[in-house]
Amino acid sequence: MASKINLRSILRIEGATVFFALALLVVFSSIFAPSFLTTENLSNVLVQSVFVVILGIGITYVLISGGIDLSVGSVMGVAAAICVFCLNAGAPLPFALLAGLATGAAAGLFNAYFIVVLGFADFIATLGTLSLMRGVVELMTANSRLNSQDPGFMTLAAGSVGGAPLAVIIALIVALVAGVILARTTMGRAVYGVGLNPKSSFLAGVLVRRVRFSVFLVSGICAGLAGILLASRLSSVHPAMGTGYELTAIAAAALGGASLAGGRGSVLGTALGALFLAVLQNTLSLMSVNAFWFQIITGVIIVFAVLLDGGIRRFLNQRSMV
Amino acid sequence: MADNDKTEGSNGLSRRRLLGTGVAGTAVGATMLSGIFNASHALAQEAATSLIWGDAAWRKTVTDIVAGRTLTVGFTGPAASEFYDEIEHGAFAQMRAYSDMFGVKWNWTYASPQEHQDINDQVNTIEAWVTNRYDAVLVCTAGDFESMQNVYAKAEAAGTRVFQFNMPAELWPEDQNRAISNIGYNNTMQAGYLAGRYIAEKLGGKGKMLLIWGLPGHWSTARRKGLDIALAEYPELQIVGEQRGDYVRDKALNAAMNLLQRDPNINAIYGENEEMALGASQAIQALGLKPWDGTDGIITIGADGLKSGYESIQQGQMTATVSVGAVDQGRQSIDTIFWNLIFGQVPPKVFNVRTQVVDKSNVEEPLAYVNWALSVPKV
Repeated sequence: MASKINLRSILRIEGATVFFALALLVVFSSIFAPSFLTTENLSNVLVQSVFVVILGIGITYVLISGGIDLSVGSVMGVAAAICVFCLNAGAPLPFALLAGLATGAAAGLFNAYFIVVLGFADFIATLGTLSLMRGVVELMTANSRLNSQDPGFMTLAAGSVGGAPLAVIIALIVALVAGVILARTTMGRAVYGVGLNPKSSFLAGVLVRRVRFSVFLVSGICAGLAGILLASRLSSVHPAMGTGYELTAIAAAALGGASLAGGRGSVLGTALGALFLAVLQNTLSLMSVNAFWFQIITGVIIVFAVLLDGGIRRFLNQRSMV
Repeated sequence: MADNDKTEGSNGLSRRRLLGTGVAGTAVGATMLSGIFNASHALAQEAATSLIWGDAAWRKTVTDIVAGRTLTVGFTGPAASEFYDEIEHGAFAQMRAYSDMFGVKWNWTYASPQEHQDINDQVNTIEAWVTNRYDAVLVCTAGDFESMQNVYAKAEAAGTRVFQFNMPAELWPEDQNRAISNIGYNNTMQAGYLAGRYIAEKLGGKGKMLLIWGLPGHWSTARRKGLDIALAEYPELQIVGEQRGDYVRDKALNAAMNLLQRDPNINAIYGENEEMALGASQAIQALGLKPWDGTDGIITIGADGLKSGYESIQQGQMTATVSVGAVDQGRQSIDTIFWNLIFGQVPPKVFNVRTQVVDKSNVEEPLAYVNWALSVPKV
């Protein structure tokens, strides 16, 4: 009995399922891809996961509140473009970084204005932003390339502190701050409340509109940061930068236990979900899996991981009803 | 009965003997035939190699130095498509040729990003290949040299040699170019310019044309440049509309339909790649307009040199295309890698293959060449 109770309580911890899935994957990778467990490769995988981790954290806020943000991939691109544009115009690095983050924030506020103030469906409003922002990136980069060899800027993604990649440390800090806010503060709990039941949250005194406004702001800022880091990694911005990342970030959040219907999800879960996707991609590359099977396997594993999560959740609900 | 038996016996015997002789005869015949065949085959091979390219002594020298080594090569393009498949098959052909001639073995991995032109995805893949200490990577990317330089530096440090293919290398100064060699073609003068010249010559320098562009990036920039150079000589040839087709057929079909519905009185459509030119040809058909017949109708021209494009040209749908030497790019890439990796020979920083405008008048040879390459099995 005691062990069963332990299992239940372990499975109840946020992100437990995806943690086990990740652990399983790591064991598999270590066996079948001999170079997986090298320091070089692990450092690569962590850096590779950073962009989706940060993007996913923003998306997680939106998903928990019961919304969706499809614009983040394009917002990444615009924020990166503005940041590098400022650098090339001679702005000091901190100003350029702030400009990039502010671009992300502005995009978030833009979404929030249409959704919260004007009452547009978030799916449609953010789809509009997705297209609009992509157009801006293309305008800014199609004919004149945006590159930066600024050493400080390149350090963001390529540098390291005490052996740990700087980008990974940045992602850790973001995850820590976002996680604590979401799990430990009134504002964070209000996000869950709004996602579970906006009406009763409103009756309980939660400022629903303010919460919905702020989740899109958070998502925009995260997208801005992810874009800046990606631009640093590639030391340039290209027209297609960030295309499709919104879906990968949503997949990471879903793997981490976030519900597309709102009210459920966690920063830790999403971060582990993003790490899972990065390790999966890395392992299949190390194993030289055929590119088309690569896609099929990725799809199948994502579906299975979500199924597993759903199964465990049902199992837990049944047990708790007894 | 006994007679019968005997007869039957002798009959049986003679039948058996006959059968035996038959088998033996066939066997002898086969041996002789295969002997002759082998001899003539060897002779042909000897003649070919000694008269055209090296002799037995040189081949043995190379083979001894190769010593059965396996070269591990990763190949990544910006997207999975018929075009990159043709390049890969060109590579297969050359790898097989060198395996036969010099005993080199190949370990070949193909990867393309899940999202069209996702550069970061390609960087991730190359990092994994570098971790596995591949001998060489062959890269074609929508990113420029700046975006790849971090991962190229990692590759260099780990001893993995970087080669690029199908990049418009003319857009960058050579000293910024970290790849050992760029095997491709000049997109400006060997593609965009040729298409512009073809249209102008066929139309006598007068008319209205539409442009359908791929995803913004260095390919479209370079081809646009070439097209503009060609059209600068023909002020009466006007561009009256342009739209994006993002390198895919369905988007180009819609774009061409919309542009043609606005003004069906068009003389030529340039699709920046062949998928889009094929889409434009379909739009002309769908709207009941007349494809170019040599003197009249709408010219459609693309760039790539796909089997499906050549077939469309044969059927009189697409007018022409610029073959950008996909098969030769694949073959040349392997040639460059082989002589560089094993013998340390230094290739040119930019190696441009031959390109050609292909229309109904000369489609047979390029089609036969592509058919040959596509018939070469994977390595």
